[in-house]
Amino acid sequence: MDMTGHQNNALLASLPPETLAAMAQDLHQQMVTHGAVLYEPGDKVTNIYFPQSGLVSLLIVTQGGDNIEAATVGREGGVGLQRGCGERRAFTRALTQIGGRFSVISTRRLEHYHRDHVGVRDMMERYGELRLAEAQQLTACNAAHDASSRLARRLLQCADRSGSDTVPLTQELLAQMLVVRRTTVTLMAQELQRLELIKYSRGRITILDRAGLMTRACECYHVVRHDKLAHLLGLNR
Amino acid sequence: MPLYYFHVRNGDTLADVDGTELSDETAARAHAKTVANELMFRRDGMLDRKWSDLSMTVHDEDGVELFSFPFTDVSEPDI
Repeated sequence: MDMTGHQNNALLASLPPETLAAMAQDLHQQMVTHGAVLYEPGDKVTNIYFPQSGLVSLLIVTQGGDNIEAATVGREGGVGLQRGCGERRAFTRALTQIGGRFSVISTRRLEHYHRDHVGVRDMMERYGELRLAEAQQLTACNAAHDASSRLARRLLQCADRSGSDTVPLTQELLAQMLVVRRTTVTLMAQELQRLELIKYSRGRITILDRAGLMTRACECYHVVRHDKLAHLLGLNR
Repeated sequence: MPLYYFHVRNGDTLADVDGTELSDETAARAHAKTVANELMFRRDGMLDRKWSDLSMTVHDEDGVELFSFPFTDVSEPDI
């Protein structure tokens, strides 16, 4: 059975080969379109999604009706996975920001592999630790870092996790991610464009100078890259 | 609702190309103050210039300037 597609996702690629080969019978591939909602808060988590491409936002829906981004998940991670096994309910709204190809397995079947394969248990626990550290870092970032540094970080992170240096993100969406006014996003994006770090037109942002953008990103970009984060947490095998 | 445009200026301008729909000039003043505060939070300036060298200028749909203020004025209540 061809594993290549599934191995585009870092979590699946990290599994022992015989474990992934066994799971492949229950993993299917699916194109997911921009705007598709994978779960609403409170929904039963019945499927786990491992992006090969594309990007999912996990949004906290406040009582006031704001949709505030708490996390982005792309090919480095899984959606629904942090809920673990067994009957769980979604805490966030999982919204597909950038469409792509996802590997999908039902929660019921994943439980079976979780029970029988230490590699799956290791992968899920490890991912849970990375996610928690990332959420903690984001709390500090939103409180302490200036909006322009946070914008640079977001753009780099979206590009890394979706697998492309052109991200179809509107200014309205970035305003939601950064919790600032759309006008603020426009002015900051204009500045980055003036500095020739990005190019943007309606709905699409292209990173032109990745190294330059990295110098403007807050430290959180470097801290939460999963390869670095795993090292910081002592998770490297 | 009318469109208002919020630009950052120092000789050079960073242009708000899309504008924002707001009810009236009072709302535009409040919006300008909010945007200025968001830009200034924990930051010394933009485009390698300090806030004391920069101002925000607000225009209507016809490109007429309605008001402007230096960023450093933003803490004053009567903006």
